[in-house]
Parts: sequence; C-alpha cells; structure tokens
Amino acid sequence: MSVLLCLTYTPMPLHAQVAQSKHNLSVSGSGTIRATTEQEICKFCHIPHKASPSVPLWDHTMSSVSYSRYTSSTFTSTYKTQYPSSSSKLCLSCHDGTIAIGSISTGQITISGGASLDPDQSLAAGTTSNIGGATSTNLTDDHPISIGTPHFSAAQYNCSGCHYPRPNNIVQVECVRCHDPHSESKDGATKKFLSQSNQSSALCRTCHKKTYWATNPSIHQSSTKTTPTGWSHNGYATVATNGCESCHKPHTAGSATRLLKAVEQNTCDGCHKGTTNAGVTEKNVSSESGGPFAKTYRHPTYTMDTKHNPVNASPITSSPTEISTDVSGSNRHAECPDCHNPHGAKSGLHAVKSNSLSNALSGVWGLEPTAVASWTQPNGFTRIDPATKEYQVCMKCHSYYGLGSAPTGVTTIIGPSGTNITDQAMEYNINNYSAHPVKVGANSQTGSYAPKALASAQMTSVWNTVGTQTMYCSDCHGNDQATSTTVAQGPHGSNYKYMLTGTAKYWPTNASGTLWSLNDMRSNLNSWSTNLFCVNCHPLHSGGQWKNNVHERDDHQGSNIYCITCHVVVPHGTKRSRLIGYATDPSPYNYNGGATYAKLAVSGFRKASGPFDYSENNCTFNSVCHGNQSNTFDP
Amino acid sequence: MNRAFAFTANIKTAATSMRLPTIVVGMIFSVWMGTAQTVVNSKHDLSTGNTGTTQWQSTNESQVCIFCHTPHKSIPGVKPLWNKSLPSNTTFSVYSSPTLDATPNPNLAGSYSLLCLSCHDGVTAMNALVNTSTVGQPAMAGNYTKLGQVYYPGSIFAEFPGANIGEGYGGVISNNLSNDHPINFVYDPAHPDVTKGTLHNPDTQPSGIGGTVSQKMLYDHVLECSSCHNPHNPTHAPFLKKSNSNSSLCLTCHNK
Repeated sequence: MSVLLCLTYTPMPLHAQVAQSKHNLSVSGSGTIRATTEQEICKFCHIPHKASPSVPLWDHTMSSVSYSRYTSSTFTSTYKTQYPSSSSKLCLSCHDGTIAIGSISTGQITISGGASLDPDQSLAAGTTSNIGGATSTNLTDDHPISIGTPHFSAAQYNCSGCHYPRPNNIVQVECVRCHDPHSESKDGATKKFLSQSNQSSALCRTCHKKTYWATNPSIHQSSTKTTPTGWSHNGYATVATNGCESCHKPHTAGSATRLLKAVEQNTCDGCHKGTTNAGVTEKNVSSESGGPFAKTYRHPTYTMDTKHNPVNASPITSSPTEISTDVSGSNRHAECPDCHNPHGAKSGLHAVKSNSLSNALSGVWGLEPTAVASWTQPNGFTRIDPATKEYQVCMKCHSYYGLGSAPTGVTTIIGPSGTNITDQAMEYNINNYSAHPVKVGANSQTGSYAPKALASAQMTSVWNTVGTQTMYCSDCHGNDQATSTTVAQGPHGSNYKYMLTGTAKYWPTNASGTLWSLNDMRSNLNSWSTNLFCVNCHPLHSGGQWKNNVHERDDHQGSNIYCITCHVVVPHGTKRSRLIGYATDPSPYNYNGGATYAKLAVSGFRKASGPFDYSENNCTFNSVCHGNQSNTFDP
Repeated sequence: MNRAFAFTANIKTAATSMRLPTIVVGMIFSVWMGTAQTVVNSKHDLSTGNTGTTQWQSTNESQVCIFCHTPHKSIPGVKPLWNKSLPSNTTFSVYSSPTLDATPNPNLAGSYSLLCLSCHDGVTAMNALVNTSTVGQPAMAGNYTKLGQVYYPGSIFAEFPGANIGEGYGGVISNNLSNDHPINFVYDPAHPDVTKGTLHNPDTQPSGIGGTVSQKMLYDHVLECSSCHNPHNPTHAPFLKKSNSNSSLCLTCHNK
C-alpha cells in the first residue's frame, strides 16, 4: 500500500500557491490590492453553498456589460452566441473594471488599493489588470476568447492546443486556456498567472503554428539581443525569450488589430531604431532624425496606418494576402509587412549580381507578372509565396496590381520625387527590347536582339558576368547612407531623388539641377565621376577611353546635348534597345524640358553589332541631328 | 431518559469523556482547545432555553439534543442515534463541472449528509421527530417548521448563509445541490486530482485538528457535510470544523 502511495502521490508544486499570489485579496495578501480586514482568501471568488453560477461555485458579483470584440481581416472565426462564455465572464467580473473587487453575494468586502482602484473599488482604468479599458467594455485589443465554429484551420492552429482532453473538450479559448487564476508563477518571469511557462512563447505556440518559426526560423525566433529598456511587458530579456511578445501583446495591445504592441511601424522601430534606443543597437528604420523615414524621399510607411488588411490566402497554408483592390486606389500603401515578413525575416544583406530574395525579405509573398507582348502593361500575375526574387515584392505595388490600368506605362499617381509613377512590371517585361537585368539576365531578355548584353568592358569590374548576371531593384534604390550595423540598406527612405543609392546618386540632373551631358565627362565637370548615377556600374569614360563610339562622337558631346536626349529618364526598360527613348514618348520617360535637346529627340534606333560599330544610320531623327536615316529601327 | 441525554450533551468538561458518544468528543476537544462554545445557545439549539438569536425555536420543547438524537428508539440503522425524520426523496441534483474528476452519488440514502439535509433541504419539518418527549412533536415559534418557510428566493433572509441548502421552499422539494460543494464522493489517494497535485493526499495531509484529513474529515474516504462542518460547535461560523481564516479550511484539501 505504501508503495502504491508513493507512485500516485504528487507533492504539492511550489508554484501552486494562491495565498502567495496577487489573487490572495485577503488582508494577508502581498499585492497592492487587498482587503483591509477580511481574512479568507477563496471567498472573493468562491462559496461552498448556493453558488451562482454553480460552476465553479462562484460568488463574485458578475458584470452585466457587453463587450466589443477583437477582429481583424484574417480573423475568420465566429464568436459563440454566449459571449463571453461563462468561464471567461467570471474573470471579467473583476477584470473589466466595473465591479468592486470585494463585491460578493454576502456584501462588499472593503478593499484598499490606492490608485489601482476607482472610488467604487473596481479596478481603475489604466491598470494592467483592467483589460476592459476606460469604457470597461473594450476587448478589441485583447486576445479573442469564446471562439465558436467555424474557426481557424488546422494549418494555422494545433487543434489540441485549444481542445483539451477534457469531457466534451469543453475548455477552448477562454481566459483559463492561458491563465491559471490560482497560480501566479508557473511563468515566474511574467507572473501573470499563466498556465505554463511562456518563455520563447511556448504557451502561445501550443495553439499557434507559425511558418518560419519551428522550421526555417526567422532571426526573430533565435535572436539573443536584449529588447530595449522598458519594451518587454512579460519580464523576459531577449528577442528570442520574448518570442511573440517581442511584437505582440495579448491584452490591451497598443494597436488592436493583430494585437501589436504599437502601431505597426512603431512596433518594428521599437527595436529597429539605430543607436537611439535604450539598450539596443539595431538597424534604423524609424522616422526619427537620422532614420530613413525622416528623409525627403521615402515610402509612405509612417503616414498610412489603416490600409494593410491582408486576408487569408487559399489554401490557408500560405501567408495572408492582399488582392489588387487592397493595394490600389485609395488603398495604396506601403507598410513594413508589405515588404517584410517579421515571422520569417532573417539577417543579412543581398548578394551582388543576383536578384534572389534577400534575407531581410525572407518569407514575404510576391507577384510574378505574366510576360506579355513588348511594351504592354501586364495585368496577369502569379502569386509567389514566399517570393523568390526581390522584384516580386516590389511588383505588388509597382505594377497594374497596385497601380491599375496604365497602357503607356505612366500613371496619374505622383510619387515622392514629384514625377508620375510608372509600371515596373511593364518596364521589366522580358519581351521588351531592353531592360536592366532585374528580372532576367540580359541574354534571357526575350525581346532583345544580339548583342543582348553590353560588352564586359562597358561595365565596372564588379559587374563582369554580362548577359547572365542579374540585379536587385535595391541595387539602385535604397538608403543614401552606406549600410552598417545601424543603417538599413533597403529603399525605406533617402535624401536623394528616386531613392538612388550607391556612390553616385544624381540622375538625370547633377547636383546643381542641370541635365547630365557627355560634355560633363569629356570636360570632367560637375563631379560626374562620383555624382552621375549611371557610373556606379557603367564607367562610360575611363582611362581616357569611351566605352562606345556613340558617346565618343564629338557631335554628341556638346554641352546642350544630354543623356536624356537619347535615353529614357526612367531607365528600367523600354520597347527599344539600350534604353533609348523616342521623341513621341510621354513623361516621365521623356524629360520634356524646354530646350531643343532637353527632351527625347530620336525617332528611330537600331542597335549595332558591337559598342564601336555604330554609324549614323543606327539613329534617325525627324528634323534634328543627322535627320532621317534608313534602317530597320526598333518600333 | 431523553432528558438525561440532553444533560450529557451539555457537559463542558472532559470528566466523563470515556463514556460519551463519539459526537460529544469533538465538543470536548474544542473545550480543551480553549474555544468554549457548545451547541447550547447556538443556532442548532432549537430548544425553549436558547437565549441566542435564532429564527427557529420551539415554544414547548426544552431539550436540546432531541431535535437530532435520541438514546433509544432512534431510526433503525441510522447513526448517530438519529431522531429526526429523513427527507422523503433522497435523490439530489449534484455539482458537476468539466474539471470535476469526482463522481458524487446523487442518492444520499445511507449518507451522513442526508442527516443534515433532513432540515437543510428546506422542506422536511425540523420538528418531525421519531421519539418525542412528553410534549409530543415540538411546537415551533411562529409555526416556522421548515427552513424553506423563511429562506426562499426573494425573502429578506434569502441571502447566504441562508441555511436552506437544498433550496426547497413552499413545501416543494427542490433537492438542489448543484450549486453546492460536492458531497458523497470518494476522496482517496487515487483521486485524479491528488495525482495531478490539485488536491492534497488525504491520507498524509494534516487536517489541522489532529490526524490526517482521512482520519478527521472523511468517512471511509467519503466527503460529507461534516467533513467541513461541526454541527455542535458554532465557534467558527457557520459551524465550521476549524477556522477558515486565510481559507485554511478550504486549503486543507485544495492545493491552490
């Protein structure tokens, strides 16, 4: 018998001590809020006879208010008809802030609690324990409870996380799923009566399945960096041990939708604020002085807070998505999670001569535009989740998907740099005659004819695998500061137009606002070798040598003949070879300045067989330059 | 003879303890502990001599114990020397919850708790005695014979601790124990909550009143009303077996 007892008897766990917790509201309690004389502990909630409701022999006066509930664009559950369910109502009888802490069936026990209590001895608004907020009815910023059917899919949630092996599987998502009101310190760091340790969000993840967390994990899953002073609300120190709660807060969240600690960008810049953040050095993506979103040209991340409303994709196994109307028209937006998946993001910069998705964008979905005839706006897209190429992320907004119809490639939307935004899916269509190798290497640009690629001598030594190398949008567009441990690389914001990045940042005009010309190179003017944006990759003129015989031609080097006399201002891709524009092209492809050559002048162009094989009949003009020529010109 | 038994029950010293019925021993123990209160003048003293405050008092029966006990001709087989007519319906609705791992037996026939409910069901008359004194069935002040005559929903006495546990009133049997702590269930070391650690092991947990929970509060490992209550000692209202300060009575079993 004694052997049997040893096997079946579990000693009292040390944490199971309501008497030592803040829920000991008797005079012997250790919390701020406690009775002035009452000695009994259990009676604030329970009574052994004539209880109401019967389960669990309840005695605290119940609240009668009705609550507003959590919702979001990805929340597909229904709530139970009885909301909140009876067990959660018990907790709310104190925690909504309407009922005096000491109000039980036999009267009101006098409580002291200082500023934590309202004059009626209910929990004061603003105290952590009052989850009802100032109105006592606000559960929109709290984790949902009393979830009915239908509810989330097994792809996103562990069924057994919510459905306990209890009779009738009765314990679902109610307060007691996460909290044990009798035991304050099962999670000794948080001390919020959690039902188990939530270190590294072990409790959250009993229900929530997060892609990129258990497998192929994000840096946010494992980072041992400490969170900024005052940032953690659960007592844990590092990003990894805070887990979900590095960004999310299950009660009285700063931003109700998705229970973020603050409005989305301020959730991210809670840590990602450079060196200005107490205790943390992290890449700065803030709008504070020095941050990229404080700069002149920037994505509108800090000025739009209600537009990012993805819905569950189908099948639900992929990440939430936004359909075209969610990102176009008045819904156009650029929030942090449009480009980054904080659950999947990893550390590391993008590679050179590649367009593969960089680590910082890991896990985000993108769009692959369907190839169409040359210089036609693609309006078909394949959703890629996760995106494999950086441009697929940009295409979500910088294409028909986010811009709407623009048959000429030009929209009526004015970008931060003051010009009309154009369609990059149209510009990088592989059937165009030329394009920077953002989507495919030059040799794979279907619409191009030989020689497709530039000669390697026309490129800097870095970009020497001509024809096969690819590049990123962010090779040209990004922060004007060099990347570092505190400076983020990507196109968040810049003090240079079009967020041009690299050593040289001026296009199509120089620092004085004058259009670049070959004369700048010939005469070494306007710091062209360090300021002309194109020379970051295209040397143009080095070692006393021009890199093709068109640029070499004296006639082309007049100070009143400009780069944009022949080339498009938006040098992504065109329906002619070598990014040549025709006089008929619209702004902003055409600079359309007042002077004769401050605009596109060409009316026909034919690519030569080599960089030094150009002759007059490779270009034709209506009334300027060398007039009409005869050749098979690009359309 | 009934008179003699009443006298015995009023003893305030341990002088004759070896010959006293078991139920009196607890009283004497209380005296020894220095809390010198007895059933006399408690709310359980329904006799004419009660000088305390009670809603319930006989106008002609001066004996105290007789309302529950008789030394002779008690109800056959019903301990301890039971003299009070039992409820006509012995089946009660019982507490249940998703987390209750015990199975209370709703039929209280043979249970000690049924003795308590022979008044506290609200409908069984408290003056319905089996073996009466010379006055016959005791007359009750105001003709209040049933708890349900006073303690019923809406009455000014309806608030806890209304003693109408079974919630019968107006003569209608309710037998509702669904909102009361479960009774008449097995609480032994094999109880699932003992295994889980949410209840203490009754065979090793000190009762706080000498001995273990199993020895002093359970009846062959069955929990009854008298596991928590001592009907003869009002020291710890409402007739608790020991002080519930710091909820120490509750926490004797519950590991919270």
